[in-house]
Amino acid sequence: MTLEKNPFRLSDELARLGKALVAQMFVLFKTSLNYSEGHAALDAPVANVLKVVREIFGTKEEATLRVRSGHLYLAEVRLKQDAAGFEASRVVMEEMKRHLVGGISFNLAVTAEDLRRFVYAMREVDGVPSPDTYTMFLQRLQQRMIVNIEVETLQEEGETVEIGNDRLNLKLNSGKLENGKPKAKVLYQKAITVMEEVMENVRAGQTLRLREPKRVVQRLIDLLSSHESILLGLTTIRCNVAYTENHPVNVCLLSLVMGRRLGMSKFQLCELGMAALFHDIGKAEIARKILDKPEELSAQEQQTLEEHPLHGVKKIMKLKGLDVMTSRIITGVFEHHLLADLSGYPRLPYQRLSLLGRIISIADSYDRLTSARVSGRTPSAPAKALKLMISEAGKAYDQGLLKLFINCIGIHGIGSLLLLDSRELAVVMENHQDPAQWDNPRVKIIADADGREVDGAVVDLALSEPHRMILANLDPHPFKLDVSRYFL
Amino acid sequence: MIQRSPDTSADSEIPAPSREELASAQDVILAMVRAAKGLRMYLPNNPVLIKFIDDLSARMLLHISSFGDFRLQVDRFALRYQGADVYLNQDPKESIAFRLYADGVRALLFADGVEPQELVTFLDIVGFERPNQQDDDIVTQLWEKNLPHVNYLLQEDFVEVGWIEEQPSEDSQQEALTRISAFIAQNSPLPPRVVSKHLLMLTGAEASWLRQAKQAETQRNPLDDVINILSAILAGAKDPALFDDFLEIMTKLTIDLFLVGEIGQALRLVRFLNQLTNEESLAPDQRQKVTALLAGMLSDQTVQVLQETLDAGDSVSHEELRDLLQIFGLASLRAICELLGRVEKLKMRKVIIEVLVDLGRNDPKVFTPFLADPRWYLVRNVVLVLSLLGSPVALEMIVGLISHKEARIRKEVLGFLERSPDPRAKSYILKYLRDESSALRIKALQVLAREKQYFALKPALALTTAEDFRTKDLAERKAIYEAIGELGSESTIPLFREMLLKKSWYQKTVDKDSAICAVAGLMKMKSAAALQLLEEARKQRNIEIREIIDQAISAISAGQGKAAGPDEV
Repeated sequence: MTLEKNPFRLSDELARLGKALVAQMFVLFKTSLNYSEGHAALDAPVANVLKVVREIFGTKEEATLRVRSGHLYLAEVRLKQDAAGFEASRVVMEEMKRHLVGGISFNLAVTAEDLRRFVYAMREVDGVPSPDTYTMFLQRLQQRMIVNIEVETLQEEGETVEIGNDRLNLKLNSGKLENGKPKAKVLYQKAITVMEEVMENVRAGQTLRLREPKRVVQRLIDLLSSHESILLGLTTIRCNVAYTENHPVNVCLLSLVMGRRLGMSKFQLCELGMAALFHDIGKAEIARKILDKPEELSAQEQQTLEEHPLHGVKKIMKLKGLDVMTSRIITGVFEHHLLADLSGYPRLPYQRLSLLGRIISIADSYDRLTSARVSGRTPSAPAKALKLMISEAGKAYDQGLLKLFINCIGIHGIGSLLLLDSRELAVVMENHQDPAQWDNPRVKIIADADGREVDGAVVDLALSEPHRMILANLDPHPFKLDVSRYFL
Repeated sequence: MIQRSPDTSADSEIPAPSREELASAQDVILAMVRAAKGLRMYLPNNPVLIKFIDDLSARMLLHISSFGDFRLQVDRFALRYQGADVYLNQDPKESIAFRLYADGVRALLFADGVEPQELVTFLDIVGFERPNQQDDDIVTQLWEKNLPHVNYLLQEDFVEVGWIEEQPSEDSQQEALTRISAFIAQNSPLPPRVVSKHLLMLTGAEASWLRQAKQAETQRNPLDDVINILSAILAGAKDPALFDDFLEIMTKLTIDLFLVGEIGQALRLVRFLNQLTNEESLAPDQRQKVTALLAGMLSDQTVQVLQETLDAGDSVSHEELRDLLQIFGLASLRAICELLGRVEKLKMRKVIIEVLVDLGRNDPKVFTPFLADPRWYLVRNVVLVLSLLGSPVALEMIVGLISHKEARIRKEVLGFLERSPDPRAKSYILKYLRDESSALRIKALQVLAREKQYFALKPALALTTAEDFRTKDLAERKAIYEAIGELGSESTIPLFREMLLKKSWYQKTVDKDSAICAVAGLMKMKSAAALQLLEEARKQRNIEIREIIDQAISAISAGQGKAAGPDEV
């Protein structure tokens, strides 16, 4: 045994084959939507899936695609999503989850006919998953005599965190952690608390310690893989009275979602998350009377406020040594108001914007536009904020990144207040990742047709019965409606 | 020893593990502790450590294959396996359990497939205390190491659930909803003007741009980014207080870069600061501040690191070093001289000397303070530089060092006097004939002779009659006669004749040392008269002396007399 040996190096070949399998299955699923079972259009997609499966067998590994904690795995190799393959991964995962299938195994003897039957067996199960979905799907596979493709049941998310001894497992299962929502809330609150402490330390000129913030960011990254929409929902939490640390946490989450969608590694995400969390650290130097001023800022006050990126750089350089992490943080702090065309501030001879700064800039702008007490005084509804940002695409914001951002939070941003054609009021809870369903978000009904408050169900507008349509997008702020409570 | 934990409220619901299972768990823990200690004591390739790791790995795999995943509950000082203590250490500095507990870890799980390297990495993180981990704890490190078969549960996975449940419930939002309903009733809200979906989908070019941007990001040097940022701030800061703050930050960063051996990056900052000193948009006092900070950068510490870096490898090019030192300039003269005294690499020394020569060219007196420095090597280096300058002013500056107590300095001065084109310099060399160092006396004689400084003949002859002449070693006596021969020419033939032919009254042959010295002097003369005297002296009975004379004759005949050294004569 040599200690220098690194046994964890992922098999590049398996990762490549896994991504190819996902891509070809995606094509097969999509093709099956448009053509009947015997149509020749399926020949090529089926042949391509078979070809990849055979290549996988050539590596002596099992050809099994599994879903675990929001990721696809081939054998034991995690298939990291990137921007190009994201859609394929998403569709394949959703198809599997829809049937409560956690794994698909292809036997060596799998044939083109098996694949055709399999994909149409999947098509036959529609609607929202129920406890019987998996059993029904198994029955369909048996009816179609598919023996060379086996499926495994989907493991609950709670089971993936089941570690420790039995007593700990009991505690885990008795709590709400497997739900994800309480865990996300706890983590969100923790992030706020940590940042409040950081800001206090900075104000007091104490040494900056990154351990706790780093721990929070790492946990957010882990949680994002399984509870992205819940965490995005929490970004709607606002404090409309005074400047709070919600904003840095929101920017951190929004940035992480973008970074994840870009296919960044967890280490890059950690740097991005930290930079986003600390991006406003310079505001520790700005007087509260300016930060919390209810009216518009005077020119002088605005100028003072615009110095916060420089204060931030200064504080980090003085209160913390320079290493890779602090360098990234400094970059985020300095660049987050510069804007893609460098028309922002601080107005200095600086040309080379980092991707990290560009991402944080978009997340920061969106959260500022939709908040009342970050720097602007009048908050905008998510849809209005997005529209404003889109009008600046290619100038203040990189077009590609802004599109990516909108893909993350949806056309109707999470937290948007909607008037449905049923005259019900609803809040956007989650958006489809499938572009075809972008205008049909999952919403929570908060008021009935007569305007009475209800604790309504979360409805997928793409599937709801009776069918509901969006009639109008309303701004909740003038009416003092707090949409964030529906995420708590 | 295995103990059942007293905390058993929930444990009672769990079937107790068999004795074999507990024994196996304890075996794993023992192997783990041994391996952790081994990691602290031995180098990674030490066979003892490798054996410990192999043992741990084997026991872990055996346990997992027999009893399933290896799960541990973490208590303050104990690790428990299914309620039984399998590890107990109450010393906070030594206890693995305490370190895990202190960082919030409450449960560990080693899953099937765990690799030896994972165990090593795990123990490397939790096995012993690391005082300088300000920004990392066990949890952040485990996360970064991404061990696929080692999982953990944290304190916050449990206690904070209760905390969040205690939050007060929200009030009704009916009033707000009523306001909205009233608004809707009175106004017909416009349908959403949603941007067309296809306009929001990434084009191929945009996806490609994103991929490239992500790739480019991984190649960025974070330090470069920070330097660019600081440079931009200093170059554009209007507020004097802000400028001062960032100038201080930049200076500290530059010094830090020096101290960690990042000389290339430090040079980049130094160049930038140097540009600022000429930046007309800055106020004069700001430029002065930059100049003063640049002048203070080369301290003992930075010189030490710079010397180590220069001697250690090729990370700093000659051009970079030259550029760096020229920027520091006269204000850092002492430090540059110090650096010259410490650096051993000849090519780097040459660069430093060249820079110093450039710095002193207009005014050699800038070096005056260093000539009185107690550090001999510093003075010697300055003399070397002055000698290369070679100006009359430089001569005046260093003649006082002819009697310096340190021979190495006097030697440098002698070298300077030798190279100096100033005619006065040679007369100062005479002082070396009374130097306490024999080597320097010889060297002085050789220089005077070679340079045909005829005024030195008389002092040289005087040396032969001095009381201490006989006590000098042969090499020096020879050097004196060589000088006499070279400077005195034909006029000294009688002197050499007497030395070569005259026998003492009690000896039957000529004194051998006298003969050697005379031959040396005649060889320097290389005239016909000298050759004739040598031929005459060949009649010596002493074979040894005859051989010496024969060799000298051959050498003169072959025209090599000048090149012949003392041993060859």
